Amino acid sequence: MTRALAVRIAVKALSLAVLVAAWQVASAFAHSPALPQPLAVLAFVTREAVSGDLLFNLGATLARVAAAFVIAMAVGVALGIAFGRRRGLDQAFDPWLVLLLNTPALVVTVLCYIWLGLTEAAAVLAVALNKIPNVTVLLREGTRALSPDLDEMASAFRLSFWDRMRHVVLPQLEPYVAGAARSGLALVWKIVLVVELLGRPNGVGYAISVYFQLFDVTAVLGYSLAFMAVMLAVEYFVLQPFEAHARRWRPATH
Amino acid sequence: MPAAGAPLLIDAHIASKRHTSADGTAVEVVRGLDLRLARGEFVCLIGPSGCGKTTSLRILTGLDRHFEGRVTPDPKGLAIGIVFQEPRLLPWRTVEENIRLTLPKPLRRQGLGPILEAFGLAAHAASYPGALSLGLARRVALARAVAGRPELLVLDEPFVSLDARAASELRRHVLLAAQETGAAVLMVTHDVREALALADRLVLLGEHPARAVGEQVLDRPRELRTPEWIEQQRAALAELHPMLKGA
Repeated sequence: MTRALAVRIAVKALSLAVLVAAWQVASAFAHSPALPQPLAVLAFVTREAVSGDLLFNLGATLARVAAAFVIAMAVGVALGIAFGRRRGLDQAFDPWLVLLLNTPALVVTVLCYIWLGLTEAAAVLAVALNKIPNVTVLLREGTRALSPDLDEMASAFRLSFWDRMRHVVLPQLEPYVAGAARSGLALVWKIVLVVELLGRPNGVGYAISVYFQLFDVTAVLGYSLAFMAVMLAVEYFVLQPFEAHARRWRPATH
Repeated sequence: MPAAGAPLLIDAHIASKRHTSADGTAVEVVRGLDLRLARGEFVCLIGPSGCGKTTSLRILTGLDRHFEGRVTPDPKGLAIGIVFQEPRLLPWRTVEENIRLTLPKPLRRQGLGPILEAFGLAAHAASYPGALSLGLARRVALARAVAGRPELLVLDEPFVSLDARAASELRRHVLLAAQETGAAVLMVTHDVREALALADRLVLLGEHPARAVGEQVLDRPRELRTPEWIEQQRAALAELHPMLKGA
């Protein structure tokens, strides 16, 4: 481990420790069930983990996040490239995009549940539909910024459609895809919780809704923090290494 | 005109090509340019900077289809190797990957050792273009253009920004590659000496709009073209076409 990396990790750990300390102090002053102490939350998380409920609910939510995320990214990237490449298509469907961008997540979720029933497909579709317009808009902008010189080079050397996408187009869109993925994951898991709260019998959102009715803030915080930890792990152990791999060709900058 | 009886690779007539300028008016950049290119022939297009040479190349290679006239056969059906004015390498692929990617599918598994060696790139095969000098990047672009054994090799000022020794070495490799594969070469340059050293035929373009104003067939073999001979030819051409003075 380099010294710079060790310092970076130490700064982040210290920052988190300060946050927990502030929480501890605030809960000691408040002395109310509305703001439990960090240790109480940790004890709850441990109990739920031992009983198996935590992993079951985390797993259900994570599966929905993964399914909705993959669908939203695949459809959004494809639409974004198509809209960026074909002006006619963009002009024809831009109003749809604006409409979807401005439709509240709650409305999309409720309509999906009404039209498709309280099913897993409806839940995943609702989350994906909420994210697709963002990915599309980001990738449309990225596609408009593609290098015409490289495009011409690919035409001159008669590259096939797939070679052109894989080697010429997608690497140029990588920063936009990475941006969409990062903001997308954050948005998707928040919407998944709302969708679970409204119409699923399991998952972190469902658990939070149950404990909310019991006014159990310790449990609400426990489930929220456990899932945040999972998302942080995905960010640090999946997204960031993937991004570093995709950008390995860039000269190092300091 | 190519030599009589030589099998024709391209027969083009560009009646007119217009660009739309920023204020919306159409500007004619090429008018009445006829060009026939035989297989194995090396033709240089010479003319002043900005006269429409590159535009003509783009039409002849099928990269620009918005013009009045015809190019037969359709250049989309030809195997073309091209060197643009800029190297146009993929920065996220290594030197070797940049070359391999543009090869026809059946040739992609072949070893690239000989071509990397010939173009002085063996030590840079695993480098990314961002780590190369402009001169090295130009070598990669040249190697990429000849590696796929094209029927038509199109070179748009390929030797600029190279030092004299490297340029001369690379000219030799390009000639060898073209001779070995039987490729026709169409090169744009404004360096008359370079054109006189390499070409079988020079086509001189006038400007505003670009059109052929002269043609010169050169003697073979190239080995007989001494620096003195090149200088004589250049002076004679400059007398005939004052626009070439100083080129």
